[in-house]
Amino acid sequence: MAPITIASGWPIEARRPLWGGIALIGLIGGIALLAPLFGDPYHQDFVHGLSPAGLPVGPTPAHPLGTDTLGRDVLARVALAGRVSLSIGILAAFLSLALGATVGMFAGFYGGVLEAAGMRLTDIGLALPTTLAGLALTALLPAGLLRPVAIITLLFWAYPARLVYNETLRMRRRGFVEAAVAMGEARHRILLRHILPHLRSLLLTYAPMNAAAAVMMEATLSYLGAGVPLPTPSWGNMISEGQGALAFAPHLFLAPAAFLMLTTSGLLLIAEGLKRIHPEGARFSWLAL
Amino acid sequence: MTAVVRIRDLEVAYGSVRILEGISLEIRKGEILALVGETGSGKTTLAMALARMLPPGAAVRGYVEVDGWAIYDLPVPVLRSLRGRLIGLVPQDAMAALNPVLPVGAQVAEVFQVHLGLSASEAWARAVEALARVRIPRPEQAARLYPHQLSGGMRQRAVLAMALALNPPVLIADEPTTALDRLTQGEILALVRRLQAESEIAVLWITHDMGVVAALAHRVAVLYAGRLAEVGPCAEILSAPFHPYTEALVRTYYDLIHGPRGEPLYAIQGYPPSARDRPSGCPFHPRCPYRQEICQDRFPEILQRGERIVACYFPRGNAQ
Amino acid sequence: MARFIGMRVAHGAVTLLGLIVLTFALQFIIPGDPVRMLAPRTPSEEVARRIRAQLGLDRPWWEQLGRYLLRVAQGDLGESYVRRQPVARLIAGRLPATAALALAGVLAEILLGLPVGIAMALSPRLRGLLSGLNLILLSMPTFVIGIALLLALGFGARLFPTTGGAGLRELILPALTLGLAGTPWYAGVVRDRLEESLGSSYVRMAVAKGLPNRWILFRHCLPHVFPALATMAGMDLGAYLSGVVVVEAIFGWPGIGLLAVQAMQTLDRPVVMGTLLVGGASVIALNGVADGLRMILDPRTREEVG
Repeated sequence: MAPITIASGWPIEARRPLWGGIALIGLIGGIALLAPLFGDPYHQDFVHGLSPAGLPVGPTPAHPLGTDTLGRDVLARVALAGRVSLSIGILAAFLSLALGATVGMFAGFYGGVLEAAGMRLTDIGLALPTTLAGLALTALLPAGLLRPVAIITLLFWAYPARLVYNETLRMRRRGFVEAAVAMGEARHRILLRHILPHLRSLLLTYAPMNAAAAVMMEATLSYLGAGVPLPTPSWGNMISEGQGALAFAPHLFLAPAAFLMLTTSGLLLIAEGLKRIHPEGARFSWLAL
Repeated sequence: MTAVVRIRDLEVAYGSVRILEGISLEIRKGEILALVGETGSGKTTLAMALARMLPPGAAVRGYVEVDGWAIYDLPVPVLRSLRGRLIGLVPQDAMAALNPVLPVGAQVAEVFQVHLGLSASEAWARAVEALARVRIPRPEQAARLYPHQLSGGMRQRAVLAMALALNPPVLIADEPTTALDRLTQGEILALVRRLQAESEIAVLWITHDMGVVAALAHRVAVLYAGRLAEVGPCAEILSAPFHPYTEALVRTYYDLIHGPRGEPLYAIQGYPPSARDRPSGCPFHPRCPYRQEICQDRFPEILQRGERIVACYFPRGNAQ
Repeated sequence: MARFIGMRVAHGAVTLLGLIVLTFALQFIIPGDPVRMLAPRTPSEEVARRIRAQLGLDRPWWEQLGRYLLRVAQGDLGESYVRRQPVARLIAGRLPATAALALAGVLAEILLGLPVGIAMALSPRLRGLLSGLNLILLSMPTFVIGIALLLALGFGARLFPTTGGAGLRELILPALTLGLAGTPWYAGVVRDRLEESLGSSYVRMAVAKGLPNRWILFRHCLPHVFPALATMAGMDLGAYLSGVVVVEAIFGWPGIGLLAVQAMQTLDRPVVMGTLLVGGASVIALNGVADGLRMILDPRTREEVG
């Protein structure tokens, strides 16, 4: 597999999605980072923030993305929500990938009890209906911003575990592990020096997709009230609030939804770009004849 | 004998790489023409060019006529309706011709359904007949089997049945027996000879095995590095080859079969050139024991001696 | 062949067993003390002890586990703290609605994904456009799709009811939500398999036989798509039968998912555990069926298993 090189080394087909994705993430990440500049997300503006009838207003110069039912500035909230959702999502993605890859790698490499135990756990993890289990775990853990991180990690680790396990197994079967052992290399060194680099490409391609899924999961949990607690904004709980106002203030749904979608599509584009860095043969159809 | 296939100055290239050059050939009704050449000589390309089945990147020049139809002048819809009826194709690997998820019988029957408009049951009956014609035992049961359930030989017969289903005037077989064991190969060859005698079909049989040539062919065309080296009746070519390459091929074969045990086998020096770096002039000159100065300057003119043609400045035997 | 099936069933059973043990173990950590839920007011020590004894909560854990396994094997999932009904009956009552949604959802996924995938494989122009569409759908969590549909078709165009219910009209939007959420996956699988097939040597042979393109597409290429499609559909069915929480919540669809959410909010522990169990079991069961279906559809794997 081709090593990943920077910028000019990337094949043409990979550049568009990669740069597109990076641009999107940069944009949203930038907004999230600059969140404090957009104002106070908790301040209820009774002067300009609500219509005479007490309803939220649409985009105005004072509030570029409008206000919500409590008169709070949507832009400020959505920016802060970006910080919250992104931090939780990325952290959870990283932890789940690390945990899953470790389990899968050890199970696939050492075999025996480790393999049996690891794979049985993975099977259970894969069989659990995700959102349902997420809800169950919510009651299990103490409330707070770390809770969704833990939940997502526990829900997601099984998938990379299975992938890494399969890949490690494939490598083990190819025999070069035995060859290395026969040459006297210590097992854990083989793991580090041979297996891990091989897995690197797999993990690198999987990571952005995992991150996208994690961000979406955080949104789902927050939407259901099981993630980030109000009044701290998360894209998910903002959408939940927005749903109640769909009939008269759709921007309360559209703003956080848009930010969420821009983030996830950015991550997915990066994933697509990374996938293209390992080009496969072009496919063509005989039907053209 | 009338010519069913006429090829004039055929040239096939991919970009700047010329695979075939200056090919002029005829295949007559009722004859088996063996196309002999090593890997990379362009044999398969020639076969595909004949059927206009080259991939989109290929540039084709020249004239190809099959059963009176100018293949490359036809609009695509006409070509498609003619395909299958005009040329039967048997590729090298039978598994490559068969769809693994469909029963073999269905894959033969569909030719009847599409081209003759038969109903599914009628087409199936014809398919079973076609399988019987190629001597597949218990054809009614065999038709229901999937390709992977048949042996290699049976599969090749099935593909043959598919190719001959509509009684096309031309059959192109691309090394169909290379992957089979000697015994099965012999059976398939006998089958082809019998079928051909029955139907007077014109056959282009591509091979690199001189033994098959000797057993099967009426005429032989020798291809080297994309150009025709020699064409002529089989018996004459084998007993008195004109082109040094043909001579070497024949000698290799006889040495293999009849050569004294314990002696090193005769082998032609060097390797056949890849399509990209073909030598100048006569492409065989680097390996030719009789080469002279002129051989690397220009490709030799085609000499004709009765039924035979040869492309060489210094042909062997009594071709002077 | 029978041996293979036996192995798969055993494998599934082991996983299911693990799941049951897991749900049992979780009960000790999840709040929702049955005593406080079942007693009318703050109970006295005496009452509390009696309730505990009644529920068998004062026994050692391995005994409780054994009894639990026994009860589950008999289909008894306990009794809801809140509704005073057997959990199993509660879940069974919601099953038809969830099943209807699950089936409709998978159907929608296939009906949307198949043509999109075919179009992507056949037409380079459409491929780019549809890839963009897929990306948008992929970047939307299911609940966002649902609310967007609600906004556009429910409130906007006023085509569909926006309040709960379980009739055919009410089924359309939730099913469509699931369908759209799954379209990129199905389309991707269809497109990949189809592209593989289109460039294959047997398709070349089919062209050489003079078969028209449409014939080749439907009789030669699509059969290669179906096994993968069936596998995905089976897996999705299993996942949806466990109750699609978000979709049911958005549209007020009275299924198992909604039951679970309500149980969450009321700390009705047996119901939560029960839904988890049933959900996990359905995933395991249907994954097995999906595998079986794939084997039936692809004659080659039948032989491998042999």
